Amino acid sequence: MKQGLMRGLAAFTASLCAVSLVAASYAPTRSAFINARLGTVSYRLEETGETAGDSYYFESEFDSLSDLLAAKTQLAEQIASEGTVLLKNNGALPLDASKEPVTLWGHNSVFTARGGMIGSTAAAGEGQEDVGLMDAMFAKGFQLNEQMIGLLTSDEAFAYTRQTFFPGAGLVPSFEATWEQPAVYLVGEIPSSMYTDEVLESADDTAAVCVITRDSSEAADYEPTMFNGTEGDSFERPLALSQYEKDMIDLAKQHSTKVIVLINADNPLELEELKNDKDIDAIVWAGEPGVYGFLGVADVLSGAANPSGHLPDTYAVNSASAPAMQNFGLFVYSNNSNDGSASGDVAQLTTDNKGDWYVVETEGIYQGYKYYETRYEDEILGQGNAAASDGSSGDGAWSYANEVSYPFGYGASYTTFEQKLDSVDVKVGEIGSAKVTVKNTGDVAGKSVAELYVQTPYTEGGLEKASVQLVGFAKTSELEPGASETVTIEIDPALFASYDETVKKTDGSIGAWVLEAGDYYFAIGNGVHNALNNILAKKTGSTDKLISVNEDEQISADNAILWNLATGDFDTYSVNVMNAIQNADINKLIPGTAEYTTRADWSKGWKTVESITPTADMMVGLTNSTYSLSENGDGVTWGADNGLMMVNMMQTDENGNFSGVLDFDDPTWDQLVQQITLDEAIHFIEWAADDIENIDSVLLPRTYMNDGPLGFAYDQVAGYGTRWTSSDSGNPFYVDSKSDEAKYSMATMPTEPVVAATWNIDLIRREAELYAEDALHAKETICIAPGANLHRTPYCARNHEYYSEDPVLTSLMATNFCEAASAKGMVTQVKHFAFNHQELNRSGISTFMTEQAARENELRCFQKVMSTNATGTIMTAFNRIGTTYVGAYSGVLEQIARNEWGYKGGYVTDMVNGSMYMNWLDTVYGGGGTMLGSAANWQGTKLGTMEDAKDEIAKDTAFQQQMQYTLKTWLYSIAKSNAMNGISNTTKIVKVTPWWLGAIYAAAGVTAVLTALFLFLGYKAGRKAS
Amino acid sequence: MKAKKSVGFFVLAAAAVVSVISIILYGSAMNKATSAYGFMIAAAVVACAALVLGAVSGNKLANWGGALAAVLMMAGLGWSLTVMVDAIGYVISGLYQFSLLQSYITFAVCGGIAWLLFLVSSFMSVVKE
Repeated sequence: MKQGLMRGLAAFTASLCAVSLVAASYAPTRSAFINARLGTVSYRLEETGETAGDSYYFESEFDSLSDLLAAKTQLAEQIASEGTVLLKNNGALPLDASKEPVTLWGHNSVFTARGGMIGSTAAAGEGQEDVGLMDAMFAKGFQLNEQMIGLLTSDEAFAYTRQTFFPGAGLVPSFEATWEQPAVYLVGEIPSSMYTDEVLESADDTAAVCVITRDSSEAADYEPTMFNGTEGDSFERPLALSQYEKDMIDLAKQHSTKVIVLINADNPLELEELKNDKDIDAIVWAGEPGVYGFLGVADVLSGAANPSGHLPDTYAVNSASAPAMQNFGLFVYSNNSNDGSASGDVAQLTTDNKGDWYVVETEGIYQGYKYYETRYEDEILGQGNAAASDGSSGDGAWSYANEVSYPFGYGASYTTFEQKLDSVDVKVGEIGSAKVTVKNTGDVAGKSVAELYVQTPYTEGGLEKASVQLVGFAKTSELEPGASETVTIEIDPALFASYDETVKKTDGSIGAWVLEAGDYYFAIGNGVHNALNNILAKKTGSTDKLISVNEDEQISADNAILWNLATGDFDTYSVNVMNAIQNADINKLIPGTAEYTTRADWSKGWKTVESITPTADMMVGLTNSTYSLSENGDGVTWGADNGLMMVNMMQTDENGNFSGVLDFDDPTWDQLVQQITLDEAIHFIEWAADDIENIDSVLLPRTYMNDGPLGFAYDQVAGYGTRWTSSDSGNPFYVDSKSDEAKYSMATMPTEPVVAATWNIDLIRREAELYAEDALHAKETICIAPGANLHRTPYCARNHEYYSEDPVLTSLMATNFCEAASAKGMVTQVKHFAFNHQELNRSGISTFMTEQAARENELRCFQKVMSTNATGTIMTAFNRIGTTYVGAYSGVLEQIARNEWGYKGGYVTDMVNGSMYMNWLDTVYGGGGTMLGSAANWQGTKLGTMEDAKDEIAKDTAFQQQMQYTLKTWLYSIAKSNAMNGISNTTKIVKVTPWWLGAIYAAAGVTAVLTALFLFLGYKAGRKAS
Repeated sequence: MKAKKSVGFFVLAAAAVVSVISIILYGSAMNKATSAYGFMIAAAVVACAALVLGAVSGNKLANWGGALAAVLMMAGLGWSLTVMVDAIGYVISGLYQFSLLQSYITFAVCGGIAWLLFLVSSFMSVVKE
């Protein structure tokens, strides 16, 4: 009996001991996470030198965190005011806040969208002010109708709140495989019957601000076929106004002195009806302006700020009318893992392959305005069958007048400006310039944006060309009435070169950037359509047939300048260039699958690619069997004793501040990398996550990397104090976890479309500087921002994390952000490279496109920021290019980015989500860098972890060379960052056992002793019994 | 000589059956650790061996089968959790939906019952002492 008791107790304590041992083995791999929450450390930097001096290479411009917070709030307000776009105004705006009482209309006016859901949620921290539209208008002195607010905030109204998962979420995000189109969106508007007579009467003699809101979200998309989940309400499309919204606006028209519609959405809505409604006095686009941005929007409404924003996207009459919408959404291979079947030699896909879905971008280069404006020119010139009914939003022939409400780049002001294109100076192979003189001809001070566009020569049936594209832009300073300013806009011909996939160069390679001989028209305008009209006026000598969709458009042939290129150029921008993504063109894999949009005949390109049966070659990528380890080469050097440290790679100025790092090609980098052991290398690559693993052999301290575009994400870094521990108290940027500001959120800034709408490079550079200040004060190094993908369609609900439908606007915004941030020691991580054009089934979706379209649109967004190495790191996307996972697609990652552009920074995958297609073998071999997520995903799989495969890896020289290259690119980037702060040549890493790890060890020890004791007692009892 | 089958024998037998079921269920967990498989299979094998030893030879060593199996089972459960930590975190942060964890939770509950039965059997005798 006693023996059984002792045996049972021994089993119990031994079980606890087993758990403790597992924890003792596993917990250190999560030490950064645990330490951050418990305020402990696992190592500390110890200065061993006698004259260490100041080793802070990046310093703050602020005396306190409070000063930084105040600067961020002020900047957010300014970005939002300059990013607010005035679309229509009959004089109703600005409002006189002190004299004109205002009624907020629409339930969403008290539940505004300030950012997206999940990855880029705009969040206020504990004790931090959170400013919605209503709060902002009160703060700016508006007298708001309290009775209406009482109704909109009532429990009865709350029942209509956009709330799929939580309040403010009208979309339903999904991280799992989806076999149905997203079906429901909650508009969240209340029925008109809810407005009581008393409330309606209270709105009489007040100005109405009617708010129309649509949400943004990671892992979700809009679909034209959605229905409105708000009970009793309906819409034709989710980006069109719902019936309740129309009813609400009708009531506002009946009970108000003036009606202003405020658009609170980043996805372009259908506004034609409002635009044409004479009872609507003004339309203002505010986007999703972050936690403080509505203060800036309120300034625009009151006239404290003069709107100077311009649209970053085309606002079409029918949001689904572009050819890209023909192939957006849910398309599955015939051998998919759900209800598909094997065919011939092609096996059925499995869920592990995560390869069931595809999208074919049949629109080719004609994305966004490049479609609408190019077809418009052909309509005017009577070519390319432009008037065909295919793609028409109406019943008959296609006409631009019926298709676009507000063109890309359009924006009005409370004043008027006169712009004159003075000159253009274009030099192939060099940066030229255009000069534009802007004069304020109105009676209110304001800023103006000079937008420069170009039309390149097009031959019918030749290389596809957009009729107009953005070259550059400049924003004036605030001009007083009557004042003028001449601004200079850079002209880089690389930005409007076309990619010809068929050119065979002298070295035998195929594919080149070309500037064809002929006439190039440079033009300015208030938006792309105005610029194109100026070009057409110049080209045709007449304005008779030209169509204007904005009443304030001024067409002038004088604002277009002709430049002729006598001889075509195929070489200047084609160094190292060759076709690299031909297998992303579905027609080159399965001829005749897609009908691409073509300028030669606009009736083509409207077919949906309903079904694809992959070929055996395509299945290689779809089944993730691209690479395998093998025994090759003579090995590489690991663990060398070269006596180098990361800090040795940094160069400083006479004040001890950062001035640069050794050149990437300096052999010292290779010596540094060779010091790293294979174990360290494996750990660094397969455990890249929120915390970047420390590498003791080169004295790389553990540092941190977090989302995202609105500032460091609050759900990942819950305030400035999160990363600090008491042992950091000597750091000049230390934030005490007990201080009020320790839990303040950094994710407060406006979304990217709002930032893009400012068209103000100075503002985005300042924003980046303040992100870098956040990094210093929050002990962060890498910010996973900005997003630089293209708005391929208006329906991607993640467009709020990307700037625009235009690659040049995107590129200039992203590049300037990254340059300014890196100058202050923050490493940027531009995402999602590349072709993340829809969130629906984004994990593993095959994305097909022509190489010309890929290079001229999406890749151009990333080209400058990577070719100038303004960004230190790049996050790859979830999707596939063709059928190969983008994070392992060497054609883009290595050939285009490294060989052609000269990118030297690091790559990291997006979150490794347990899917076999995002595996370390393909990723490292394909040049995709490190793995964001845990090695745990590969434990127990056929592939196993890198650690499991260490012996095989050690035999594969080519793989190890890729590992070392990956390490070099990361170290090269981190050496330029604030991660080096506090480290000198005499610093050493000292390992520390945090109390929680000590407690685990103690638990293991105590339970082991108890087990031994019970075993002994049991043994004694057994002896006694026998 | 055949040993008389005690209550402990049947509890251990039940534990062995439940442990085998949990091993099968583990196959459908989102992430799987090889070491977890190893420990759990070892637990089931030890339990079966103890049952055979007890039933066939009446060797008192069989009484330690449940205790050893309990420890192995717990080690297996512990290792299985280590590869699910990320997924659990993703569910908490809203990145994953809860349904992704359901198969693991089912396994873990079953495995927990197996451990409990092993533990109870270790207090009892498979072969009379």
